[in-house]
Order: sequence, then structure tokens, then C-alpha cells
Amino acid sequence: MMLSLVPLLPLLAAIVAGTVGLKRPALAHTVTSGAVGFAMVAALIVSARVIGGEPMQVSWYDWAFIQGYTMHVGLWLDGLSALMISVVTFVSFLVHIYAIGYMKGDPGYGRFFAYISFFTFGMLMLVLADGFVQLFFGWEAVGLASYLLIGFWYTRPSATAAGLKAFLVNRVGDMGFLLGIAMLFTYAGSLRYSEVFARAAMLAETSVGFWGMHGSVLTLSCLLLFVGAMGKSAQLPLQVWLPDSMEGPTPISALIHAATMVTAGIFMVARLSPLFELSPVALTVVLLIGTLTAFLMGLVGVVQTDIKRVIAYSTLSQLGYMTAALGASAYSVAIFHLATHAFFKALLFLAAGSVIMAMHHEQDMRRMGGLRRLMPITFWTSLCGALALIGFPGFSGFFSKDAILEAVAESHLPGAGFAWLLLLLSVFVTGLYTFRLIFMVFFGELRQQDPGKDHHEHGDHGIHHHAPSESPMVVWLPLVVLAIPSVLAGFLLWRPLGLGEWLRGVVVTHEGSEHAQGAVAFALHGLWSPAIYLAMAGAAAAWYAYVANPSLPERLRQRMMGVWRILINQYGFEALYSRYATAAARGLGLVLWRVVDAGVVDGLVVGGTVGTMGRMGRLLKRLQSGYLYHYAFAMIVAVVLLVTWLDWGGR
Amino acid sequence: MPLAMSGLILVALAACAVLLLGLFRPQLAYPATQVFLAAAVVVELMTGTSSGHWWGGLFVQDAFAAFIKPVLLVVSMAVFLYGRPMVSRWPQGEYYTLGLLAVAGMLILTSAGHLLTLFLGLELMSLALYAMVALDRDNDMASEAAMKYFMLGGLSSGMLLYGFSLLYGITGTMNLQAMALALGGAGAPGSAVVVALTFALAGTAFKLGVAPFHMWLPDVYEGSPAAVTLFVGAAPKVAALVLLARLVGQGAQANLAIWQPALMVLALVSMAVGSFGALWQQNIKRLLAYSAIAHMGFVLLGALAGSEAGYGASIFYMTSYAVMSTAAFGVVLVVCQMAQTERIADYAGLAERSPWLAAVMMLTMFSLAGVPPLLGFMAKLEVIRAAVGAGAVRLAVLAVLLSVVAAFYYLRVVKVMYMDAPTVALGRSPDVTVPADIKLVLGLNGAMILLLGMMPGHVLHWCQQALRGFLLPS
Repeated sequence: MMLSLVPLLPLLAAIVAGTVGLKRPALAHTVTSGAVGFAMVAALIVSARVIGGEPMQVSWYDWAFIQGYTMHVGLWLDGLSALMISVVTFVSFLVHIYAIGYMKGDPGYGRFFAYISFFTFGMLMLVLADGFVQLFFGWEAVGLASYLLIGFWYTRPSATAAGLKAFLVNRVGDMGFLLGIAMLFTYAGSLRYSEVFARAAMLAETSVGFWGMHGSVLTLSCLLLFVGAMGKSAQLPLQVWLPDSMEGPTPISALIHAATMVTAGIFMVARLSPLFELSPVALTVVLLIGTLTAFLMGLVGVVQTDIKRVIAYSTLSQLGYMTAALGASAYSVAIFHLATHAFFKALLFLAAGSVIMAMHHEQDMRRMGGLRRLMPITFWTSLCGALALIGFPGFSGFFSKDAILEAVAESHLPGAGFAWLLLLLSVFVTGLYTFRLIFMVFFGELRQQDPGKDHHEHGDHGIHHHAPSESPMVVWLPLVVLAIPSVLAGFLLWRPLGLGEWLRGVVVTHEGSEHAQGAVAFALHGLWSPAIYLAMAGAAAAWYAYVANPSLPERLRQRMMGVWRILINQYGFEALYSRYATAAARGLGLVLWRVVDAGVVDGLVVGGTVGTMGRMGRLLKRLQSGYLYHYAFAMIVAVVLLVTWLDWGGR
Repeated sequence: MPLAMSGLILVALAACAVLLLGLFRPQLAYPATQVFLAAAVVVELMTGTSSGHWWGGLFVQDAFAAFIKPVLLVVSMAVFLYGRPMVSRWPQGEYYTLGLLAVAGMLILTSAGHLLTLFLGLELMSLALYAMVALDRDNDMASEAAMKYFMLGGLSSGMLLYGFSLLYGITGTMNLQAMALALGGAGAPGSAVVVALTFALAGTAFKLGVAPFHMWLPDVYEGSPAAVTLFVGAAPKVAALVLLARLVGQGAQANLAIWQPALMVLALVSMAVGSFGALWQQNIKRLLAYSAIAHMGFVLLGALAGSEAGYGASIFYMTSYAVMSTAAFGVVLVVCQMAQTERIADYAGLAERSPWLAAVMMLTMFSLAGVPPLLGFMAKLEVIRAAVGAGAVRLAVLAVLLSVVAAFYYLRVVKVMYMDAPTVALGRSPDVTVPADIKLVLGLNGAMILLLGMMPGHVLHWCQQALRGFLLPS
């Protein structure tokens, strides 16, 4: 009962906000944040009951019956989903509160709250799914919410384009996802997790072949499912949509494109770990894709100048870490990093939003600086987030990231050594781009603002052309609340997640001998690992380049123009897609439209059919003469014809 | 006397009581009717489970009757509620008395295991309906419609009766179960059986409004006052399906080879006539009339399987149709009151004028068109599955194609309501306040279309359950 409330409250709130709340801003935010707040309390209560205990199941109803197969709608709560709903409702609640301040005065205020509550519903349905149908439903629901919110300011062409891009790129992933589900259904005959898992070994032995290639059903479906994860969790080469998604309002970047939705792919692979575990090929692919994303996207983050884009690339890179952990079979550790990352990344985004508000919607870091003194709360909370992100000892990111590095080091998959090396290098890169952001925004002097350039697309935030000052309380309070878990979560969750205690029996867990140690011991041990020194080196390099010697970056850029170009162009993925893939699709579309649709379908099929239908309609109208004797005659003729036909037909 | 007759007796008594009330206290006729009907629902739910056969099958109570009777009563209650504002301008007692007599006829028909009561119930219902159509005496179109309905109804009753008499002549019995055994044991069906069943089917098809026995339907729907059209279009359709199920499904279940092809043809012609005929209609009631014809074709899709599952699908479809048709005519009635118009073009701008009404109408239209996840979609899915199960795959494909054609005119109504600028009729109409209870029930009606479409499990289950043991084990 209480479990059902968790997804249903946000849904109801979304309906209320989307109907009667559109013109009543106060009602919209009260209802939605209240509902999500209650959902959070309910989620925490049921989670406390489930974690370490028996899973909980709620059956809602049977949705459809197809050929004897019943599609069931219900909720399934175990350690994994309990953790997810806690994180999702917590972050979502804070973002609701934050948005009250951030979105103030926006003409789409009610719509915004309806959307984010709907998103929360979709995400909860996704993680609480007990089978693939509902997983797919939630998957698409959050995709839809993401599309709507990226293009929230639909009068901006760049925002609608970004929304469309996210949707289309995700479509590619969803295609793979759907094919994977279809394949599992075909061979396992079920869409429920438990039944599919029970047949995993059988699937691994069944072999399919097409185009002369053979592989096990399990490997192929895992790879297809992972394509879905690549889309949603923005892994190479489907990562291009995430940076553009920053066109959406900042609370959305925090909620959807950093803390929750993008981790759906990670969650899905962890959820399906009994399948992935049986396929070393799929795991290797997962590991390598994750590693490459972590390293390459981190590098791109170093050259970005838009504050939100830096954090977006950082998100890509951190998602890469989680994926790599999945590839190394350390599912619990991936979820650990997912949880800590949700806190500190939401914190960083909301802090960035606070800075952006203070700077009158300026997002270019080159125009910022020296905000440390003007916005002390934002600065200190950001610093907590940054230290957590780079993995400073004691902060949450340190535990989860070091656990990933250890898991990869222990992995025996082909390429694991290479992956470990790249991930270690990425730690340096992380330190570099993170502290580059901190130094550029909060240190030095406030660089000039161009008074002519003012982004006021969505209303008035009260202060114009004044020095930036600290944001209102509804904005900074969530920062403070998020800063606490950003610092402490790693320590507290170490035993349950780093060692996988909460997820035992839910995901496949390995008990490494080196692994099983207390948090303090691990932290001390971590001081001897190279990762921490690399992170510090990254931060130090950022300090040297942006505080001690600010002219250095520009000189380096001039010197290494080629490298800079490659990075700023994201290694050419964008160009590849827009120049070739999109052009080919457009060409095909043009042919289909001009020749097939306009010519064949409209001209012959539709035009012809409509003509025929119209004639038939008029003929019937003429038959319906209104004369009684015509009607009676028609009845008698019909009886005569029927009798004759049936009697002769019977012979 | 069987306990299960209590509901029927209550309704018959109600008809007498309301007749008297109508003479002396006309304003009490409506509340009394509703109270009696509500009591009858309760009585049916309580006594309906006591099944059995009485008086040689003249009265039968089975799971089927136990399911259908409450449905008939509840649908009639909604119909009386929606019709109330319009009826209050007429001699009220007569409308409700006739309505209750028609309901009594339907209840008799539903519990008939015998040709005599089958015919008796049907005629009681039909005669009441003819009179209801003519109730608004100053209305020329209504009088014309009543005349047509009565004459053609008489012709169809004659056909039905001719079929019945032949069946009695062939089998020597009027009890449906005995008839089924006699018809099944007679060996190869002779021409007499073919003629008998065809005539009986023709009469049934007329009552259902299945093409080519549908000619009366558009004229009667358009000509009758909207409150009467609403009544004619809801519960009597369910009753006509009961007639088909009792007569063909139970009585002639062994003669599948004769009536299955006939039902296939009727279904196809009906769906085609309904879908194409509505394309050029300007009057909303006439549009809904053709829509009814098309939907009756779909109902036959389930019935032609001749199996319990098939009839279950048909009953589900018919129940869903009754829900949707009531909602649609409910909105039509309110708009009639508001703007004195039945032209589709005058529905322009309804969404602005009354978003509530427009939303209910939109849901209903989408559901009638069969858009998932609404009720109409689930109903179509079920009958099409039944038809495919019976091997009528080509017919099922045609049915889907024809429903695409039909979607056009349903969507046209939605487009007019939401996209077009208001015309004079709706623009200058005075503010007619819609009574709160009608608004509430219309909302519930719309919500049912949505919720039952998403969660059809229970109702479907009841429909399947109602048919368990309906056919003789062959």
C-alpha cells in the first residue's frame, strides 16, 4: 500500500499541476513538492523495511493478455530498487524545492512542475518494475519527460533542437533495447525478471545465427540491451545528446541529466546482472565502452567554457566509470558510485544554477570569477561537491571511485589492464577540469560583464546589473542539504554498497578478499593508491594554470591548436552524425516523401481510396431515400437473397 | 414463484406506479423511476444468483441473465438521468412509464428460455419504444420517425414470428433447449431450417440495427427527440444481442453451418455501411446512428464464433458500446439544451465554451474510434480475437480497415470541437446551467471509458464468467 503511494503521488501531483495548476503557480508547486516529499518519506520507510530483508511485491492489475501470456503491472521492491527510489525521491524533492526559487516568474511555471513530477513518476516506475514491459514503459516515460524538459523553453530554437536531438539519439538506443527485450521474450518465453533469470543458463547455451555469424542468445540480447543503456546513460558513441541537453532549465540538468535518468542504463545492467554475468563478451564490451567514455569525455570537459557543459562532460565521464564497474562485474560498486554521484553531481549542478542566477543567466566561465566572497554558501557547497567528485580522501566520491579502480584491477577480462590504466589517468583529468571550474568561477577577480548582453528569456529575477549576491534560501538550502550526503555518503554506504551487503541476492556480487574491509581501513589504504595523488596533481595543475599563471591556458591553446580542435569538436562525433548519418536519413526521407508518400500513397492509395469512399458514402446516402416502401423493399430483398444464398450454399 | 423474478415484478409495478404518479404528481415521476430502478438493481444483485428453469423454460435465470439484467437497469438509469432536462417539457409520466415498460420487456427477454417469452419481451419493449418516439406530438419529424419505426418494426416482427412458427413446426417445441437438441439431431439441415433461421435472423438483425436491415435507424435516430434517441440507442441494443444469443446461440447452436456465414455477411455489410455512411453526415445524431450500425457489425464478429468465449466478447463489446453511446448522447443532449442544435458544425468551439463536455465527448469519440488505451479499443480487440479464433481472419482484417475509415468521422467531431471557431449557435446561446448531477455522471461516464480501457480485466472476466455453461455441451 505504502509502496504504491511512492509512484502514484507524483503522478497525481503531475495531473493536478498540469490541469488546474497551469494558471495557479502557488498551487502547482505546493502540490508537486508536497507529493514528492510524501513519496520520499514513504520510500524511505518501505526501503528501511526491505533492505537486508525480504523483497516486497505489490500487484496492481493485469494489463493485457496476449496468446495466453499475461502482462502484469505491479511493483517489485528489493535492495536495489529500494536504494534507487530513495535516491530518486530525495534528489527530486530537493530539486522541486530549488525550482520554486529558480523558475520563479517563468510563464511555464505550472507546466514545469507538472513535467518534473511526471518524470519522477516515470523514473519510479522504471526502477520498481518487476519485468521488462514495465521497465520499457518507465524507460520511455522518462525519455518523454526528458524531451519535454530539454525543450522546455520552446521559443528558443536551440532548446527545441536539443530536445529533438536527445529524443532521436535515444531512439537509436531504444531500438536496441526493444530488440533485446523481444529476443529474450522469444527465447525465454517470459517478460518477468525472475522467470527470465531462471532460464539464463539455457539462453547462454542456445545459439542463434544470422548472416553467417553465430553467437549465444544471451550474449546477443545483452549486447542489444546494452545499446539501450548506451543511449540512456550517454555512453560512447551515443553520448552526443547529453551536453546539448543543458539547454533545459538547470534544475532539470541536475535532476534528469545528472542524478537520475541518465543512470537508468546503469541501473538496468545492474538489475540484469544475472544475464550479463554469463556473457564475458558482453562484459568486455561494457568495460571498454565505459572506460573510453570516462577518459575521452573527461578530456573534452577540460576545454569547455560553459559552466554547465563542463559539469555535463564530467557527468559523461563519471557515467563511464559506473559502466566500467559494471563491466568488471562489480555491480554493487557501480550502484555505489551511482548513489554518491547522484548527490554530488546534483549539488554541483544546483550550485552552478545558483551561480548562473546570480550572474543574470550568464553561463560563460570566462566572465565569472571571484564569487567566493560574494556567494559564500554556494562556494563552500560547491567545494564539497568538487572534492567529492575528484575523490578526495574521506569524501563520498573517494570511496566509490577507488572501489571501481580496485574492481577493474581485479578483473580478468581481456583489456582490463588497459581499462585500469585509462581510468587512472581519468582521475587526473577529473581533478583538472573540476578545479579549473572552481578556480575560474570562485577565485581571482570578477571579470567584466557585458551590460548589453542580457539573457532574460524567462523573466525577471529581481536584480539587474548589480554585483552578484547570494541566492535566496529556497535555492541555497537544497545545496546545503545535498552537501551533507556528498561528504558523508561514501563513508556511510561503504559497507552496504561498497561491499554489497544490501544487494546480496539481488545483483551478482563477488567477495574479493582485499575488498572486505572497513571504511576507515579502506580510506587509509587508499592513501597509498596512486589515484589520490593523480587527483591532487590535477587540482594542482588547475591551480597553476588558472590562479598562479592565468595566461598559460591561452598560450597552450595556441600552441596545441590541433588537439584543442579535436577536443572542442568532441572527436568529430557530432560532425560524423550530422554530416553523414543525418544527411543519409534526410535523403532517404526525401525520397520516401516525394516519391513514395506524395506519389504512391497520397496519389494512388489515399487519393484513390478517398475518392472511392466518398462515392460509396454518397451512394449510401442516395439509398437512404426516406421512403418507407424503399426501406421495406430493401429488407425483403435482403431476406430473399440471404435465403437463396444460404440454401444453395448449403448444398 | 421464482425468487429471481422479483426484479422484473418490481419494474412492472414501477411502471404502474409511475403511470399513476404521472397523472397526479408529474414532478415525482422522475425520482420515483430512479428509486424503483435502483431498488431493482439491488434486488437483481441479491436474487440473481438463484438460477433455474421455471414453467417449461418460460422463465430462466442463469449467469448470463444475472449479468445482463443489472447492466440493462444501470444503463437505463443513466439514460433517464441525462434525458431529464429535455423530458421535463413533455408529459413526464408517459415517458417514464413507457421507459419502464420497455425495461420490463427487456428483462423478460433476458430471462426467456422459450420462444413465446422471447417474443413477448421483445414486443413489449418495441411497442413502448414506438410510442416513445412519437411522444413529442408537435414534432413532425418525430411523428414521421415513429411511423417508419412502427411499420418497419411490424414487418420485422412478422419475419421473426414467421421464423419462430417454422421452427416450432420443424422441432415441435418452443423450449430453446429442447429446440437445440431437436435441431442438432435432425441430421443434415433441410431447406426448412435454413428458411426458418434466416427469417428469425432477419428479425433479430432489424432489432440490432444491422445492415441491410438498418434503414430505419438513421431516420429514427435523427427524427426522435434526443432524449428518446438516447434511450433507443443504449439498453434495447443490449436486449437485441440477448435475443441473438438466446435464439441463435442457444436454440440453434448445432446449426452453425447455416447462420455463421449469414452473420459474417451481416457483420461485414454492417461495418461497411456504418463506416461509409457516416462520412458525409452533418447531423450528430445521424452520425451516431451510422456509428451504431458499424458497431453492431463488430458485435456480430464475436457472436459469429458461436462459442462461449465469442459471446463473452460480444457481450463485453455491447456493454462497452452502451457505456460509450450513453456518454455520447449525454453530451449531445446537453448541447441540445444549450444551443438548440444538432449540427456537427455547431459543435465548433465547444472546447472553449465547456471544456468539461468537450473532454468527455473527445474521450468518447476516441473510444468509439477504437484508440488505445480506451474502452472501445479493448472491446474491438476482444471481438477481433474471437473472430480470428473462429477462423474468420479475412473478415477480421476488413474489420480493422473499416474501423480506420470510421476513425475519420469520429476525429472530425473532435477537430470541430477543439480547432474550429465557434459558430453563431454556440456563440450566442444563453448560459444554460447543466445540473450538477448530470455533470457528475457524465464525468464518471467519461472516466469509465478511460479506466475500464486501461483495466478491462474485471469486466472482461465477468463477461466470460456470465457465459459459462450458456451453451449445451456438444
